[in-house]
Amino acid sequence: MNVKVEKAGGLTRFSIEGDMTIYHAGELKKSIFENLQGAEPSQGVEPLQGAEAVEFDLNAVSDMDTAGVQLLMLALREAKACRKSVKIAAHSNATKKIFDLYNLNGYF
Amino acid sequence: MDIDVSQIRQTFVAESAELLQELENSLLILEGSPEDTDTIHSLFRAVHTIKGSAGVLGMEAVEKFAHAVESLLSKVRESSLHITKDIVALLLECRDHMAVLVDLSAAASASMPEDVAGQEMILIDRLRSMSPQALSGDLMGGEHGRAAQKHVPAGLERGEEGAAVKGTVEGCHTPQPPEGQSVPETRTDAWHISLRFSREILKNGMDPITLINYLHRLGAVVNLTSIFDSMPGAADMDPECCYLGLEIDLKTDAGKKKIDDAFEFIRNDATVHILAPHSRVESFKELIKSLPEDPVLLGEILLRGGTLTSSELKDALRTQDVEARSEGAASKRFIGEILVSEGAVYPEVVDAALEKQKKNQMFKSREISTLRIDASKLDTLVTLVGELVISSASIDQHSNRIQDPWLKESASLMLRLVEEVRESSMRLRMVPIGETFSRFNRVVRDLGMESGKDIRIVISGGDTELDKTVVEKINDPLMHIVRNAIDHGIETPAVRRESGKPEKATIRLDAYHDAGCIVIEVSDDGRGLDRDKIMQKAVSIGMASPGQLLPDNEIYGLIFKPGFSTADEVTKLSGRGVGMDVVKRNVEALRGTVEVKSKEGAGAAVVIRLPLTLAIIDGFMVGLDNSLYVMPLDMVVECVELGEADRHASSRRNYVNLRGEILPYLRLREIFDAHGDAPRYEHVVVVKYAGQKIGLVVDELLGEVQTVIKSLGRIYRDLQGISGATILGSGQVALILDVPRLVQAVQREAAASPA
Repeated sequence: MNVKVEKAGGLTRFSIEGDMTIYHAGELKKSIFENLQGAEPSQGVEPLQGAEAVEFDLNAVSDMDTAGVQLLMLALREAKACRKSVKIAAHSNATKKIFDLYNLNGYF
Repeated sequence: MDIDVSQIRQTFVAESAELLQELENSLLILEGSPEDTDTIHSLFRAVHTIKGSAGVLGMEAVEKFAHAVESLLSKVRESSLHITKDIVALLLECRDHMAVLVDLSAAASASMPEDVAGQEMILIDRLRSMSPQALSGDLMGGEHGRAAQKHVPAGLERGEEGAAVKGTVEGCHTPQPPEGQSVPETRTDAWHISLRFSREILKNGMDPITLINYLHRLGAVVNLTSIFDSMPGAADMDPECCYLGLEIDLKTDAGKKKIDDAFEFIRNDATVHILAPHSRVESFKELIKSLPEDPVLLGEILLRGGTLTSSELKDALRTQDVEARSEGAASKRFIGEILVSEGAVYPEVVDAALEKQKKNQMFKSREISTLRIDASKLDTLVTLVGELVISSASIDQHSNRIQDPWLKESASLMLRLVEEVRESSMRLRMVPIGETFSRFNRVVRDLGMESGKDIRIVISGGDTELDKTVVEKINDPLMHIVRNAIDHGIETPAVRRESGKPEKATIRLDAYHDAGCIVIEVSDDGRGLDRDKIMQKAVSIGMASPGQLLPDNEIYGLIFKPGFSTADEVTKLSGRGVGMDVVKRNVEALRGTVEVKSKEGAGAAVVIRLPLTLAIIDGFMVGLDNSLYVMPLDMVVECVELGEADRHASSRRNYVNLRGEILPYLRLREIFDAHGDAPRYEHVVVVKYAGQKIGLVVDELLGEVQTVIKSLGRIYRDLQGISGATILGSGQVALILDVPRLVQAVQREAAASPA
C-alpha cells in the first residue's frame, strides 16, 4: 500500500494505491491523520495547515474492506468537525463496490 | 494500556448487586401481576446485563448460568411461556445462585465448590424442564423476531401483503392501518435486521461485507444504513477494531430460520436483532430502546429503526421547513408531531424514541450529579468539620471578648459559613432507608411460604433519610423483628379465618420524622402479645413478683430482657422473644430507643426511635451550679420559670401546672448532686420525647450551641442520664443530657407512685 499526499492551495489530496484492508489499517491511519494534522479541533488556534478541503483519490485501490471504509468515515468525521469538505475524487471498482454495499455514497 | 482488573471486578460486583436487587424486585412484582410486560422486560435486561458484563470480564461461570436463565426468560418475553408461581420461585433461587457465583468469581476462585456446582446442576435441570427447548439451540438476539412473528395476523401475511408492500417501500403514506386490526403494526413489509458488531470481529478474520453479500443473495436489501456513531475520536480509534453498526431492511421469501442461520457464524461477534415484516409497533419500540446509539435526531432513529423510509422522513422534514417559513419559527412543530399527523408513523413509536432521548439526557445528568466515594473519606471530613465547629466557637468567644467591630463581623460571617458547611457535610451522609426496606419484600415472601402463611408487606416512608451508618446497622434488628412478627405474631390462615380476619396478613414497615428523631415502625395485624403469658413467664423466672401490677408497656418491655429469649419457651409463648434483647442492644448502641405496642388479637407494633445524626447536633445549653449541660435542641419545647409556689411544693410533689396540663419534672440538681445553693430563680426546660413531655429544672439558661458529640470512655458507659460530652469554644467540657432516658425515668417514677 502506498499513500501519496499532495497539498496545494488549501487542498489536501490523498492518492491511495494498493490494498485498504485491515492488514494496512494501522499504517493507513497514521499516514492519513498525520497529514490531516490540525484536523482535530482541539489542536490549536489555527486548525488548518493550509488545507480547506480534503480529497481522496481511490482510483488505484485494489482492495478495500470494512477497516478501510471505517478509516475514511473517521477522516470524514474529523474533517467535518473543523468544517473542511471531504470528497472522493475517484473510485476504483473495489471501492465503488464497498461504498455501494454500505450505502455510503451520500456522505461524500 | 494498564487496566486494574481488580478494580473493574469490584465495580462489577457492586453493579451486579444492584442488578440482582432489581431482579428480585421485578420477580416479586411478577408474582403479583404475572402479565406485567414492563417488568418482564426489565427482568430480562437485568439478566442480560449481568451476562454481558460477566462475559467481558471472563467470568464464565456467571455468564453461562445467566445465559441459561436468560433463555428461559426469553421464552417468557415472547409469551410462549407464562409466569407461574413455580417459575418465580425457581427464578428467585436462580437469582440467589447467581449472587453466589458473582461472589465466587469476584474472589477469583478458580474452581467451584462442590455444593455450588451441584446446586447449579439442579437449577439448570429445572430450568430445562420448565421449557424443553429453552436451552437447546436458543441463542440470544432472535427473540424479537419470534415475538413479532407470532403477532402477525394471518390475513395480513397472505392477502393484504401486496398492498402493504407498495405502500411502504415507495414511501407513500398509508394514513390508516388496515381495517379490523387490533394490534398496531408498522407498514414495513421487509424484515428489519439490526446489527452491532463487536470490536473484535475484524481481528477474528470475519468481515461484515461477506454477510451483506450473503443477504443480497437471500433477497433484496431495500434499505441499509451504516452507523459509525460508536467510533471514538481519531486519537483513540483503533484501526483494527470494528465500530460498525448496520440497520438493514431485507425483502425476502426466505423464512425466519434461514435468515437466522445467516448470522449463525457471527453470533459471538455481533448483537443481532431481527424483526419480522409487519412487526408490531411494540417490537420497534423495544428495538429503539435497545439500540446503543445516542438519538441524534428523532427522525434518524425512526429511519434507522426502519419504521420510516428515508423518503418519508424527507417529506416530514420538508413539511417542517415549509411550516416554519409560513408560520415563523415560534410555532415550529416537532418532527414527531408532523410524522404522526401525516400518518407516517404510529404515536407509540415516536413516544418510544422520545422516551429514549429523555432517558439519555437523564442518564447524562445523573452521571454528572452522582459520585461514589470512599466512606472513610467522608468520615474524615465529618470529623474535621466537627473540629472546625469547636474552633470557630472559640474564635467567636474571643471576638466577643476583644470587642473589635471588624473582627466581630468577620467572626460572625465565618460562624455562619461553618454552620452551613456543617449542615451540608452532615447531609452527605444521609441516605434514604427505602433500599433497606425493600429487601424485606423477599424476606417476608420466603418466610411466609416456609411457614405456610399468606403475608403481604406494605412499605411506606422509604424516602426518609437516615445517617448511612444507622441504615447499615438497623438492618439486623429489623430482620429480627420481622422474623418474630412472622413466626409468632401472625397466625395461620385457618386461625385467621376463624377469628374473622382476612386470610392475607399484613406487615407494615414505616419510617418518618418526629421531634428530632427518625421513627421506624414495624407493625403486623397478627394476634398481638399475650400479656398474661408474658407475666406468668416473668414471675416464673423471678423477674416480677406474683400479683405485681405492671403497666402494659413495662410488661411488653420484658421481652427485651436477655433472660427472656430462650427460644424454646418463648415459642410456646404467643408473644415475641427471640433475640429481642439483641435488638434492644443494637438500637441503644445507635443512641436510640425501642418500644412495643400491642393490642391482643389485633396486632403488635415495634417502634424504634433513632437520633437524626450521630456526630454533630444543635444543642441547648443550661447551667447547673458551675457545670454546663447540653440537650438536643430538637427536643426542647419551651422554657418557663419555676414559680415560687411550685418551688415550695416541690418537696411534696414533682409536677407543675403548665397552662392546665400536668407536667412532671426532674430537678437536675438532685439527679447530679449539685453543690451549693439553688439560685433564687430556677427555670424549667420543657422537653419532649416519644410523645411524652417532662420538665427539667435547671439554674441557668445559656442558649443555643453547636455540639460535637464525643462519646465518653468505657468507664462511663453505665452512667445514667448522660449520653456523651462536648468541648465548648472556651475549651470547657459540657455533658450531654440523655433526654430519652430521663423521660423514661420520670415515667417509671410516675407509674411507681400512685397518683
